[in-house]
Amino acid sequence: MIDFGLDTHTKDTWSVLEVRGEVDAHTAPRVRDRLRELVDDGHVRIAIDAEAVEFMDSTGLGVLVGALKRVREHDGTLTLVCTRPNLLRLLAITGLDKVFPVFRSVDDATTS
Amino acid sequence: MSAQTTGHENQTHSLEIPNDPAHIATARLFASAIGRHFGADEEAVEDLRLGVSEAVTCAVQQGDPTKSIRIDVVPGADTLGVEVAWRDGSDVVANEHDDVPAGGGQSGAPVLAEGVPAMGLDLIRGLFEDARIGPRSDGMRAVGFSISLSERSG
Repeated sequence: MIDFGLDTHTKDTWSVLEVRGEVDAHTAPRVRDRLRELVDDGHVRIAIDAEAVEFMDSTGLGVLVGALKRVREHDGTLTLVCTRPNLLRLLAITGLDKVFPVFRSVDDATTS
Repeated sequence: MSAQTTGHENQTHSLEIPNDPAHIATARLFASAIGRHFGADEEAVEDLRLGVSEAVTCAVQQGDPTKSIRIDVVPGADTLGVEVAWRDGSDVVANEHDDVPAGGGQSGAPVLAEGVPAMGLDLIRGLFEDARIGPRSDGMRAVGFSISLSERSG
């Protein structure tokens, strides 16, 4: 089991937020707060690296939707890096795979 | 927090957790461990984990913060039934970080951290054909569903 954690770094003009562990009603507010900080600091091209996210429920999805709305208000972009079957399935079930650009690697996401 | 399993393996396995988001992960662990014990495949376990997480999140958002949340897993011949039950809060319980009351969405639906109407209960309805959401005769509210072991275990 991976402990929950967040790390941010930049790649070219992108901010990459690496999320680890489980994202639910307990941890999602921390993801949301970090994303808000990024946008407030003017970072509106954001790639969320979810490769180490072991679990996410609708609370986490709600945070992602909110962040997408926020970056779009600033003509920004939010992409996901994800190959985990459980997360891809969750995105497909909710239809959010058509809302978020999903990439297989951070390199792919930040050169799109 | 307490866990209870009756003497016979095919009897109800129960867990009571405080109404606290920090314990949602415990409920997921409990349900997935029982699912694996009864031979559910990984896809079924993932559905179980997601369904329990959504149901307990709903309970945390809508329930009385002083009352515990109960998770029952009932093994059947080829199914695992799950019920998450809680006492409604007397006041609207807001997620501590939310801009919008957690229990104050349209038609009383819970609201997510970003003010987006909750997908959680819709997810449960979509994942489980027999999803049951509503009040029980004892006054508690509950979300129930089941997974089939035989079809999935093949």
